[in-house]
Parts: sequence; structure tokens; C-alpha cells
Amino acid sequence: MNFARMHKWVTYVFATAGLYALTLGGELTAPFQALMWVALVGSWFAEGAYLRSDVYVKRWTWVVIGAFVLQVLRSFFLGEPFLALGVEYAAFLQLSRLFNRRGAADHQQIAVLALLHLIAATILTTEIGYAVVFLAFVVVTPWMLTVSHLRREIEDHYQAEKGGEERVNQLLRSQRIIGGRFLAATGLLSVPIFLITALLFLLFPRVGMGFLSFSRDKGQQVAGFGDDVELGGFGVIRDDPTVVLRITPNDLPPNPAPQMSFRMRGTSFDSYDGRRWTRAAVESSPLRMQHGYYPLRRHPSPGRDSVVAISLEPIDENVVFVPEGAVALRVPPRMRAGLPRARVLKRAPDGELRYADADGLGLQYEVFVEREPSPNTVLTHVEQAHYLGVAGERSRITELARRVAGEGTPELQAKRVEAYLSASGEFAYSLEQPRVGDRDPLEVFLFEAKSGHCEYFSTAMAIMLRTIGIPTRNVTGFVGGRYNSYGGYYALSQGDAHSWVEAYVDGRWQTFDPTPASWGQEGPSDGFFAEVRAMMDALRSRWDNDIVDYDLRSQMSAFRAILTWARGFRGTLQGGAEQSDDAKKETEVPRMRLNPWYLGAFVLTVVLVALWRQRLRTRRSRAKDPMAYVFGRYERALSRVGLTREAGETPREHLARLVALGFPAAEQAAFIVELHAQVRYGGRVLAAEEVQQAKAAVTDVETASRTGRFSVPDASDEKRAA
Amino acid sequence: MKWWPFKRRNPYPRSARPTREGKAFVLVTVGVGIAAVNTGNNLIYLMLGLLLSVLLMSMLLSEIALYKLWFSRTLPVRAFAGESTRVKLHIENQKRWFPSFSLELEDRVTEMERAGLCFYLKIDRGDKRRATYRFTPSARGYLRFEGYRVRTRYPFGLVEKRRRVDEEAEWLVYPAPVESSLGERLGHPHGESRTQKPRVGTGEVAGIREYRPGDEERDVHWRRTASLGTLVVRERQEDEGAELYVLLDNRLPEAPTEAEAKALRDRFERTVSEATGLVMMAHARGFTVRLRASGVEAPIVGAGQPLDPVLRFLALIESVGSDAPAPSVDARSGRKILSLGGDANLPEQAA
Repeated sequence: MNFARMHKWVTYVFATAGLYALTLGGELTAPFQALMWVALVGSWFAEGAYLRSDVYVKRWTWVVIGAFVLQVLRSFFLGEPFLALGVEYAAFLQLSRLFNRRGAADHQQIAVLALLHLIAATILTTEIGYAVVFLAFVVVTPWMLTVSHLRREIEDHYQAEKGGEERVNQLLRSQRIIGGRFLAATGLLSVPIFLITALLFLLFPRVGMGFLSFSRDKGQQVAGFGDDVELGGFGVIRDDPTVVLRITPNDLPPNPAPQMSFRMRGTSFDSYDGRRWTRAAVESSPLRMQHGYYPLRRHPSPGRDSVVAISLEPIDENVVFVPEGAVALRVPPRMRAGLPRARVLKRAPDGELRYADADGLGLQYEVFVEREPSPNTVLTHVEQAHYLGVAGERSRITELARRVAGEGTPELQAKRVEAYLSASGEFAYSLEQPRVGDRDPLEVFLFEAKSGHCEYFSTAMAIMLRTIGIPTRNVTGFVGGRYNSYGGYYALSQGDAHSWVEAYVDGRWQTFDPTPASWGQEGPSDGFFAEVRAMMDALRSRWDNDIVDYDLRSQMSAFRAILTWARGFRGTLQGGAEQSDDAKKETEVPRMRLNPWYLGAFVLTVVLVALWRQRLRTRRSRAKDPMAYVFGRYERALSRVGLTREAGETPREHLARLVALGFPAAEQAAFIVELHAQVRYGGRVLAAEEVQQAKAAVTDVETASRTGRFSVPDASDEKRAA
Repeated sequence: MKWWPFKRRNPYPRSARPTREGKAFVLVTVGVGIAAVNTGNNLIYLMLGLLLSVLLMSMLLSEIALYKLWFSRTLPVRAFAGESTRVKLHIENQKRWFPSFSLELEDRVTEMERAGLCFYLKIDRGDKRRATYRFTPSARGYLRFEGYRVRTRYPFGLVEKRRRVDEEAEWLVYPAPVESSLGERLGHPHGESRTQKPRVGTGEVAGIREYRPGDEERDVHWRRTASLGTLVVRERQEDEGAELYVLLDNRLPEAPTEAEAKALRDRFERTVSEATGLVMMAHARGFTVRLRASGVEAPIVGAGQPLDPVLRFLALIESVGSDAPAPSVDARSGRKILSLGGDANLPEQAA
């Protein structure tokens, strides 16, 4: 591929990544996006001399100005959001540059715009899609900047010369400037760039001042946790695999069950008007943090309570989901200007928890859970009356409730109603909505359709119990949990949204779930795509936890971890040496065991690599100058037997000395010396055959020097002679 | 106490400065940094890390691009002041793994003055590349090359890294030949009828000597050159030709003012240029050229022999005081004498 084509490809990949980054925030409408991608493809074909014509350039200038005016008018007169208009214009500017690719400067502008798009995307989204685009930028940036720079240099240095235009075109058509190896080597630059980026990311002190902040994603829309919920709001999302909660119990066994049934309570509704549930407008009270915990019933007790770590995705309602038996919460503070700020949690009288300082990043928290019944609660007459409202005349339902519940304690009656709905076989779970028309949906469900989703079942039970004098409330939350082996957590998705009943029996609120067990069989499908989804979700979770939510606290714990590791390593190096008590305390951390086999293998590898490199160097040297190699061997062989050539003695003089001494391989020595002189001083190039002859000769010299009989004069003799 | 116990090694003095694009890049990076600190948005921190790592890599890779480069220059054999000539610059990339891209090599005459600039787009590993630039020496005498300055903006065009390579070299620039009015009086060594340049060096071969710059290619003894491994030329007995004596009066009187001194120096330089033009013309016509100045004489150059000894003499000749003896020569038969410079140009002395 020639230079110009390669540059075009790289530019388009770069620009496409930038445009895709802009789409991540959801600010661009679908029609605009469609137009944008079509224009991007169209711009690929915009090439030729007409790009340089004045008319073309002027028209584009007017189009760019016109587009700007249009965006301003839309903002003023139609009141369209400024951010969306700005994002649209940023995308348009890039397209205009792509339609005007005349030279290196235009390509560089495209690169700058794409980088600005990536920067803009940081305030538009925090999704995993950004990570993908970012990685693409890490890989393509070295290509883009390098190739654009080379093109700039070509144009700057050759364009002005005589016949420069043709010379530039010739270079741009050349396939010799950049090729596969160049791209591979430049692509490899992305590795150090990525590593340095990661290191800098970890090291930058997180002291966000918060003078200017941008709104983040509003979060997923999850029905059922607002002020009201209409009968029929669930079920339709049963297939939605979007993860809402990730749960990691601290007592996770080595082989966790693939599915668990975590019942995560969200909110509850107390008033039913015949079609919808609402909640009484009561004041929530702030939950006070004490010693780092938010007690719901009491302070956590390490031996008594199990701990569940929960990661809640940002959703449109700031509900904090807690499992049954939750006694306390621990919510890490937010870091603002380098200082920890405690999160603000509020609790409603019905037990609903919400966080008040949402930042679009969801919530990470730990819940301490005990497996004991919930404590007794006293309901006033007014409250009891509130939880007994059935919205109008319910004689038919009352009659059914009395028949099903029979006589007995309220708990027994509640269990009978629960069993009637869930296990009698009369009712079936279905995602289909019963066709109710103008009729009462509950009566249609109970007496005609006898199938529906969880909301119908919970409403039916709540109202049935109310008709026989048992206070109830309709509770919404999530039930389920699929184990994600890639992330090591249980994931609850939108499809796990559920509705159940809390009945006030025996002086406390007890949970009843009248939905048939078959509802758990519905949901997102298994198989290959489920695996891919799980993998992606684990990735997303890591992205959120390690990148998006990384703050000063995480930074400090990372440094502590490194320090701990370093101490452990030092302890390993010190081995069994005696340590003081203080030192022992310091090194009471998990030590990194230095396996002697690994160490040995490492040393061996280093030695082997060094030897290999040495051998490679020798080979190269031999290939480059074979006579130098032969002559070196010759002199070393003679040195070994005390016939070292003296300083200032020429090889021929040295040879004469050898002959005088009666060196047995003098003939071979003479051959080597003469050949060496011809090569070294006469610039002669040896044929392969001559190299072989020289090697054979030096072997003879080596053999003769080892085995031959000749007298080596003693240094003292020489002195005497002198 | 020094914090670094070892002697600092800096064999290649080098410097770096941001390019125009680099300055814009740094500005964007600073903006992103401010945004990151202000908002605490980790994605902006990530972006900041990317921008900084690109800058760091740019610095590092430009260093690699300038590493293990070997430079040399080939100067033309003869150069005259005021005459444009081509200088060849060679770069050898001695790196084992990496090619070097986008190199600008500056040839420096002095620290501040650039003789020429060559651009090399790509030099493969182990490869040697040549480029030429045109250069016009401004004055006669030794021109001193300070060395080279190589710079690159590779790989990203954000940082320009420069490396100075000190390699002094001297280049003898001959005076600019100027046509002298005395040329009209020069005539021809074998009579006025002879209009063509004689075949120089046509005498008997007197021996072999080493090649000297200016020797003609046809005089190279190729067989002996091949056997000896060095260029040798035939030395011939020259034809008995007429001798031209050029007497160059290089005495300059004391000047009372700086302006007058300058005027005298300019006049002297003009005289040297005229002498150059004259000896070149005479040599071309087949004279044996003998050049004398006050107290010194240039090597004798016979017809057909390279004129360079005389040109070298003229390139280096200096003025002397006015009390020095004037250059002179005995007027004999067959000698043509022309005088240049001094207050009184002697009339043609022909025997």
C-alpha cells in the first residue's frame, strides 16, 4: 500500500473513532447519526484536483458558517439543548475536514478534531464503550501522528523545490517509505503509551476541586421505584439482561452456585386505587452515620452478621436496595477536593432507603445481614387503617379471600392465600398482560385470566389479605442472581425486577411472595450470548470500579497495597533472618514467596539470552569480516603458547620470528599473514573458498601450537641476548 | 557532595523545543489537566495520561532517531570565493534495529552561520544516504566548518530535538578570479599566431608520483594505481615553454583611519583576485607560471601541471608592511613579467 493510501486509511480510522466517541453520550439523534455515517463514507470518495479549486473551498467555508448559524438559531428559537447542538456541530466540523483533505495540514486538523471529540466524550459518558474507543485511540494515535508528520515533512521540504509537486506526488505514491514493518513497529508504540497512561492515571493525585462539573448519564430507567406504579409495569422487562445490581457475598464458596435468589428490597407502596399503587407522602429522615456505619437496626457485629458487597448501577430512582435481614450499611464516602464527604442516606418509615447525593455513578456499599426475624413493629390504628385500604367495594374478592384464607392466625391465613396464588395450580405466571379494558384489572386476573406477572400476584394477595383485615403493602425490588464467573459476583438484571407482599402479622412485617415459582424460569437466555454478556458485564464492572470510580481513597489503598507488597518482598529477601518484634509486626502481611525454582529459571533464562546474543554478535562479526576472525584465532593460538606478537612488531616480523623458532605450521601461518595483509591493507575481498582455506590454515596453526615441538625462548634469555 | 557520584556523560550535546503543533498540544494538555483536577472526572484523567504519554514518547523517540548517526561531508576539490559549489553531506544510520526518519542536517560554518541544509526522509538501519546543498564561499582563505547540527521532529511532530556534532574541518577557498587589464598584454607563449590551448604534458614520462588534486584524469597511471592501491599519475618532462612572472605587490601602507584601511584591504583583495584571473589565463595558454610577492614565491607550475600550488598561495597570501622589499625579478630573455598591486604598477618588462 502506498503512503497516501495508508495515510487515508489511518486518518479515517482515527476520525471514525472520534465520531463514534461523540455518539456514546446519546446526544446525537438517530437521523443525525445516520446522516453522519453516510457523509463519512461519502467523504472517502472526495478526491482529486477539484478539492483545491477556489469555488469548492469557498462553498465549504460558507457551509461551515451556515451550519454554525443554524445551530445558534435552533438554540435560540427552538430551545434545543446547547450540548446536543454543540456535539452535532463538532461532528459536522470533522466531516467538513474529511471532505477537504488536500494536504498534511488538513489531516493534522482531522487528528486534532478527533482528539477533541475523545476529550468531549469524557463528559458525555462513562460507559464501557468509552474504554473501547479510548483503546482504539491508544493504538491508532501513534500511526496517525507519525504518518501525518511524515507527510507534513514531505510537503514542507519538497513542495517548494523545482518540480516539487511531482516529487511530492511521487513520494506519496511510494511504497517504500512506510510498510507493514513500519506500521507494526509504530503500532507497538501503543504498548508503552498505554503503560505510561495507566501509570500516570494511577499516580495523578485525585484532588478534584469540583468548581465546574458536568452532569453525567441519568442512569437506566427502571420502572417500579418511583412515586407510583401502575399494574402492568413489570413483566415486559423480564427479558432485559441489563445489569442493575452486582452482589458479592463475603462468604462466597469456592464453587459458587450458578444461581441464587437474593431478595433485594427497594421500595413499597401502601395505597391502591384500583389500577395503581401509590405511596403516602411521608417525610424521609436522614440516616446518621455512626463510626463509619449507617445502622438500620443496630451496629454490625463481625461474628454474627454476614457481609454482602453491592454495586448498584446508576438508575433514575436513587433507591438503595438491601437484602432481607439488613442491620447496617457501610457506604464509602465521596472524595471532594481531597477530603472524604459522607454520603447522604435517607430512610422512609416503610423502610425504603434512598441516597440523596447522586452523581450518576451509582453506589457501592456493603450490607451487614443477620438471619433473624425482623423485629416487632407497632402500628397505630391510623397506620393500620392506611394499610387496609382496598379502593372501593371488593365483595367478590373478599369472598374469595375468606374462602381461601379460612380460619386461623393471620400468619396462617396469609400463607394459605400465598399458597393459593402460587402453588394451587389455578394461576400461571405469564408475561402476557390480561386484557382488562375498562374492567377492574384485579378481578379480571383473579376470576377470568388467572395468569399474569408478579405485579398481579402481589397486588392480588395484598388486596385479598386487606379484605380480611390483615395490613399489607406491595413491595418492589429485585429477586434473583446469576453468578458471573468472570467477575466473581452475582448479577441482578432489569429482568429480575420483582414485586411481592409484606404483611403485618404477629406484630411484625413478614415477606410473602405469591408469584408461582415458574417466573424464575423466565428471563434472559443462557448459552453463548449469555457468556459473552457475562464477560462484557465483568469488564464493565471493572471499568466502573477501577477507572470511573477511582478516587483518592482508591489511590491510597493502591499505594498501601504496593507498600505491603514491598514489605512482603523485603521480608522474603531477608528470609529466615532474625527480626525484631517491631519488624515482625511490620511484615505481618501476606508475603510473596520467592520460589527458588522460578528464581533459578529466571537466572538461567538471562544467562541463555546473554549467551545467545553473544553468539549472534560473534556470527555477525564473522560474517562481516571473516579474516579478522581468522587472524584473531591465529594470534590467540600463538599467545597461548607464549608466542604473542609484541607491540610494534608487524605480523610479518612476527612470522619471521616463528620461522626462526621452527614453528611447525609456519607455512600456514605465512598464508594467514599474507592473506590478512591483503584484506586489511589492500582492500581485497575474499571468496568463500579462500575463507575456508584460511579457516583450515588457522586450525592447523592451533593444532601445531598445541602439539608441535618448538622452543619458545624464555624472557630471561631474551634479556641476556639484549 | 555531589548527588550523582559518576562523571556525567554527554557525548552528544542536544536540546529540545516544542514545535508550533507541540505548543498547541501542550496547551490542550494543560487544559485537560485543569479540567481533570477541577472535575475529578477519571476519564479526563485518563485522557490527560494519554496526552502526556504521547508527549513523553515523542521526546524519547526523537532521541532514538538521533542516536547512532554518523556524519561526513565531501567538499569539492576546488572552490573559488563567490562561486556557487555543491557540498555533499552523508549520514550513516548505524542503528541495528531502527530506521531514522525525517532528519534535517545542517552544516555549520560557524556557530551562528549555516552553510547548508539537507533533508533525509528515511534512512534505513545500517544504510548510508547522501544529499547535496549549494554553497557560495564569500572570501578566500581557510573556511572553517564547525560541525553539524542534526534535528528531527519525528515521530509526532510535537518536539524538535537537536543534536550538535562538533567536527571541525578546514576548506581552502581560492580567490575569486577576476579578469585583469594585464591579460591583454599576456600574449601566447609560442607567439601570437597560436590560438589553441597546447596539449599539456606531452613530454616524455619522467616518472610516477602520487595524485594531487588538479591532476588530469588522463595522466592517471591505472595499472600502477591498481597494483599499488593508490592513485598515481605520470609525471612528464615539460615542454620548454615561456615563463610568466607575476609580481604581486602585497605591501600595504599604514592607513590613518579605519575606513582607509578597509579601502586598502579591499584594493588588495581585488589585486589578489586579478592575479588569480591572470595566472589562470596564463596557465590555460601554456605558460609556466611563477608568482612572486614581497619576500615569498609560489611553487613553480609548469604548463599542464595542476595550478593548485599557485592558487593555494594566492588563497593564503597576506599583506605586508610598506617597508618590505618590493617583489622583483631579473629580466631575461623569454621571460614575461607582469606586475600587480602596489602604488606603481610597473610597466611590462620584457627582454
